[in-house]
Amino acid sequence: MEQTKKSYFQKIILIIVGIALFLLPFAITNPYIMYIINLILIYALLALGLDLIVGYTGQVSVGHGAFFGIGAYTAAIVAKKVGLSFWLTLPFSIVITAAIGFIIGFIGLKLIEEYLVMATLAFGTIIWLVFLNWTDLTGGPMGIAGIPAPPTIKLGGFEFPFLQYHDYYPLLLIFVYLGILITRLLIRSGFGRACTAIRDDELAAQAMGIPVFKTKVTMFTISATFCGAAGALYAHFLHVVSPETFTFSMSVTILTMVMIGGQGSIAGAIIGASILTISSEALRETPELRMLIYGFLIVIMIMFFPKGIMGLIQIIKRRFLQKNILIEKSSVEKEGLGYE
Amino acid sequence: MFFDQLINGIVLGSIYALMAIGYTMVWNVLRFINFAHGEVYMGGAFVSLYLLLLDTPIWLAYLGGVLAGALLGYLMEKAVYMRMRNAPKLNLLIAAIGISIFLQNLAQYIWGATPERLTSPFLYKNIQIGDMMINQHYIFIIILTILVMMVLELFMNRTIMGKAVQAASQNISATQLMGINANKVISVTFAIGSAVGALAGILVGPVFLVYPTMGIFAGLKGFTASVMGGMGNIPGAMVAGLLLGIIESFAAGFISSGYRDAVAMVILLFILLVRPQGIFGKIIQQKV
Amino acid sequence: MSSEKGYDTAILTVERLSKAFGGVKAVNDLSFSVTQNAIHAIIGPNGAGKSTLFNLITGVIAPNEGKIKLFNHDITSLRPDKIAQYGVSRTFQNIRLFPDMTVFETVLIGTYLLTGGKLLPALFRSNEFRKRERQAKDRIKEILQFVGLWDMRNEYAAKLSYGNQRRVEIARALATNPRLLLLDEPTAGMNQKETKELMQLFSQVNQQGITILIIAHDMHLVNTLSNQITVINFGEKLVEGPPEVIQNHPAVVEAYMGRAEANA
Repeated sequence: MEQTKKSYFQKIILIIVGIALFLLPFAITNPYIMYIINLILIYALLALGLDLIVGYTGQVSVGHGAFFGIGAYTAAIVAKKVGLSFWLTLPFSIVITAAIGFIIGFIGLKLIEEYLVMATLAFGTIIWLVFLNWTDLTGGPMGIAGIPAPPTIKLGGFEFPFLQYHDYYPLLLIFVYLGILITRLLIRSGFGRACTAIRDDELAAQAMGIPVFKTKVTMFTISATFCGAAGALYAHFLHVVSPETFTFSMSVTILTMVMIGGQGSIAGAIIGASILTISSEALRETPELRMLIYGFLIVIMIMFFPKGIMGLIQIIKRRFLQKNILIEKSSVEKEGLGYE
Repeated sequence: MFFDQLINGIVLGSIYALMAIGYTMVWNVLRFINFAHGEVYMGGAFVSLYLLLLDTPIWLAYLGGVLAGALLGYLMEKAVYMRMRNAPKLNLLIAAIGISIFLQNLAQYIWGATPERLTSPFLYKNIQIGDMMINQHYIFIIILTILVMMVLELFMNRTIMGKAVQAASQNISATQLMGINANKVISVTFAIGSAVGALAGILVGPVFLVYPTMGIFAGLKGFTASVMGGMGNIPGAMVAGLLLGIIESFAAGFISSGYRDAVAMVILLFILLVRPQGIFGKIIQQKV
Repeated sequence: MSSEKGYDTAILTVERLSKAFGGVKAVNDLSFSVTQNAIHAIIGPNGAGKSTLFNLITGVIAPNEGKIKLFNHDITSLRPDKIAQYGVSRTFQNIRLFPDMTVFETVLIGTYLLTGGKLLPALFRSNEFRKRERQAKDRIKEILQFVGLWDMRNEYAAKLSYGNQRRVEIARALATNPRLLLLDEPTAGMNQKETKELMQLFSQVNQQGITILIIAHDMHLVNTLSNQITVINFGEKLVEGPPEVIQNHPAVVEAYMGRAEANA
């Protein structure tokens, strides 16, 4: 990992930008724009989660929309029926998605790659049917409304209530940062390296002593958990959950985010989430056109730019840097000659 | 009641079996599951529907749909999969998902989301057997399915191309030895598998209607059947398809209709859990 | 096997191993053992079942019959990663590197058994975790210097020359700290210079106390490098012994080297 070690300068800039992002609400007056930005943050968490299993481990899931839904519905049900606050519904959502994620991963990751796709598709469908039909628990097609906002946070005399979109932003941003942090810590560990080794060559990875199945299932579980947390945030942010949000299209949308941004890249997941959330809002009136474009983009990206936008940036960077190095070298040589 | 359910199950099962053939044939030559196979089913049905709107004779419209399905499968292969032969399998899989989403929404964009009924010359006629009334279209589906399977069997065992397809399932480069280009074998496999899939969609059209997302469940159930039968095992897929249809039909009687489509999904998850090589998986393992 | 001493210090014992694919017996009732610290060569014509044997020993495929023992542990049909834990590492006939990794990153994968894959220490960056990571990185430096790739550590492994790619693979295998190293035709496709350098590397590896089991075609390599040779054909053992014996054995000359001698 020596190569990817960022210089201190870059680190400091990242930290400054990271803190500065908390100030964004002061610059935005339009609540609709704030709403979109909040959505981007929730989607970013979803994309980060899916990227863990697709981008870093090389296993495709088309069921993460269902984990998102399970997280959201769990939070909604626990909040409405038991009356717990966001700080307690969140751990509930996390534990339940982790448990279900483990089971689905265990079933789907057994033999060949495609089985996971089909297992997650079947699972997503079952979950969607449950949301739709278990009216007593999920409210059926109407869903659950009136999910309370998180309780006001009191910090040393200051109060941070959750009244409007602007108030949610810092909370969501913290969770995205947490997602990024966990991703980074995992990827730069024996476990994360094992995942990338499995992605690149399963047989070789296994020969190095990596327990392939266990590693995959573990990463799948973590990945599902990210989506569960995003679901709880979504439920308390929008105050309403309904089945049409958590369809197969949602799973594909998250996958598209990862593909467009660039699999196996944190920045890629966030870029993908931003682009797709904004374009979804822009194409709100014509959902079929939106999905048509997504499908087309997935095919084109995977055929010609399998590493997405981040991959493109890297290619350009490498070329640019190489040119620069060449230029520098030649200029040094010239100067050297001049001095002689 | 019992026989009604059984007939329904056999009809459903015939459709699933036809779908399963497409998955299993492509798996045989490319070791890859064509995720977009469900969209061939949908595409074939829509083309038939469209041809009927143009006052095409019904048989021609059906045939047109089947040919369109074959063409669609062929084009998928040529335009996308063939160009990705050296790409990681993961990428191929994602491309297939992309194609699937693209075609679904293309159909919705062109034809709209409202379900429409394909006509059938038999739909409103019944056959009486004992004190049972059976829809003639159901009989038509069953007979056509049997016919297709017989033709397929003859093709696979009696023609050079069929034998090449079989040889390809052992080793794709083996086809070269038979003097047949591997890419041609793959194209033929896609075309035939897709034609059969499109036929399934067309046959279902008069009963369960035609709409852009009709391929999702049919695809999943066809896939379930191919897994049940043991991936790559064509006779296994046929039997498993039938079995799945019958199980689904009877199970649907016991649970609320909203969960009807969940039956096959639960069976799929269960089989992946306890016997991922399929019920008849052993047979093909011995063959290889 | 005849000498008592040789049997006692066997690191790997294969007993009556059989594996059939369909009707074809790839390995048939094969028994042999590898003495500790040996460089043991497996030779035989193409399709004799050598690579199948490696795949059986490393657990990639399970045998139909027979036993594989490592020291006194029965490792038959264990998963490959379990077998790697027992100290068996390998290279592949067709070099298998990770396409997107640098040399350093590739070899880092080999340290998995050292660093482990635990989640909580990774998330909290415990002292133990940091210590292991440091150890792993020191170890890689040592190994890369040993195989002569330290200067290329930041290059993409897949972009190196064929000979150096093989070195990366060997370095990755060494990073697992093996007691037994399996090399599957490591010099196939190499030029003479590369072959010579690799042979040197192998004997250096062996001097560090790592037993080597090697599949090879190059008779010169086998004769100079190894101290025990097992000849197999049609999945069965033909003969076994030190190079001097094998070189002149009539059965071997007929089955395997006949062609080579005729050509010579």
